[in-house]
Amino acid sequence: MSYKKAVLLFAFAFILQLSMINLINIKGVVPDLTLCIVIMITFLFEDGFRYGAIGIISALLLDLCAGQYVGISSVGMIIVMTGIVLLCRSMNRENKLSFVIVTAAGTFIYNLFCWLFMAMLNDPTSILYVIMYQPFYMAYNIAFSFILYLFMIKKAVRHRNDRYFV
Amino acid sequence: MKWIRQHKIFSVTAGIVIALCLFVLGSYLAGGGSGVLGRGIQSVVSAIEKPLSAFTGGARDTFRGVFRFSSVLEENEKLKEENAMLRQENIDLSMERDELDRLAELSKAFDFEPYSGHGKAVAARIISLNNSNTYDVFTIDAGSSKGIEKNDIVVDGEGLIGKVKETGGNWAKVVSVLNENNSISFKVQRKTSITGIVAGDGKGKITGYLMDNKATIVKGDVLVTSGIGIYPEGIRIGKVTSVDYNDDMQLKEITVKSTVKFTSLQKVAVFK
Repeated sequence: MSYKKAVLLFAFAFILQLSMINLINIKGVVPDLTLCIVIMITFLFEDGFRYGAIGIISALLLDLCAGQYVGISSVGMIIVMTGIVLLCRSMNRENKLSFVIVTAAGTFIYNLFCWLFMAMLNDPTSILYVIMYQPFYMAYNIAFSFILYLFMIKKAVRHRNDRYFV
Repeated sequence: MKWIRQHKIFSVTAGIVIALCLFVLGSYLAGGGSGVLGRGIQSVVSAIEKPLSAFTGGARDTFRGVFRFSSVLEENEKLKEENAMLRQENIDLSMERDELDRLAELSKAFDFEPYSGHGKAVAARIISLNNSNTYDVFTIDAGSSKGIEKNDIVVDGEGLIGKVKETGGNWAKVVSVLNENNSISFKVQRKTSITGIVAGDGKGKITGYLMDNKATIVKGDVLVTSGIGIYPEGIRIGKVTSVDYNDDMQLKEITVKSTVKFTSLQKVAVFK
């Protein structure tokens, strides 16, 4: 994937996240498109970390425009990306189930980290409230990431530790 | 230095994380503001978001009308009845207004100027929400070009929404009553001597306490702004949904449900 395509993808997600994605909100739960793209790119592409950097900038811009404090989402994205890179050393990237597990874990870790950071900045939201909505966030993110995965899997180059790598 | 060169990826990542943590700290110390760069970006983004949010609102209304047709019909009938009652009330009030005009003239003669309620209003549309599901911070499509300033009050027909936190040329960031950092002084509409403080609890609700722990407040009581602080007097905040006595703090604590339906909020009014 080229950097230009990655930039367009993240720009599209950024614009949608602030406006039209609320059209499909269920009890206030919406998919985090930037997180979905970051997870998908880091999982699928060997050098996904490079494209993920664009996601970090996108998350920073989202925080600037709509967040309470600037930078928390970006640090969360870095942690998720690092976790996926480490996890993928022992996972089969061709397996769809692996991708579902990675997306669910990535969503949970990201939201947990954001809660932890906000709690350190005196936010009174309780951990139980965050955990209560996690299944819905995970389900939504998995659905969107999976759609992106089905499109992008064809563009991904085979990985060295995949089964039939030649 | 050799170690950094040998572990480039780790060093760069650690550097970026440290820089971002400093960003967060700076943002926290600045009270959550986004700085000059953020305001510039927000101005550009607002111009792009405005048509998209108009389309989103229109689409949502269309779908709502299609799938909830029977409830829309029922609501229409109720509104017709309410309209008829309000017309009658309007006639009665216009007669009382004439008398009020005469009293106002009289008060000028005594050099007395009571608080006149709300000043000039600016209508605005919500163009972006933050990522949480609590609607505590959002952006509207009107800013300093329309005379909006920091701490201007934001309301809709149902009650108090919040206050303006930050403005740009064509946008303003609003902190709602659901935000935990937005404390509001209230009084009970039924008995205005009962006062207290409420703020968001981070879970989409409003909680607070009474100044007098012996005051009788009940479920269903309507709370309005008391006029202490930046919010003018008399704006509806919400209805009390529960009352508990906290033995540790020796305070009567209340939970309030806002009269404003934040989940379907699209248009707001900003008062100076």
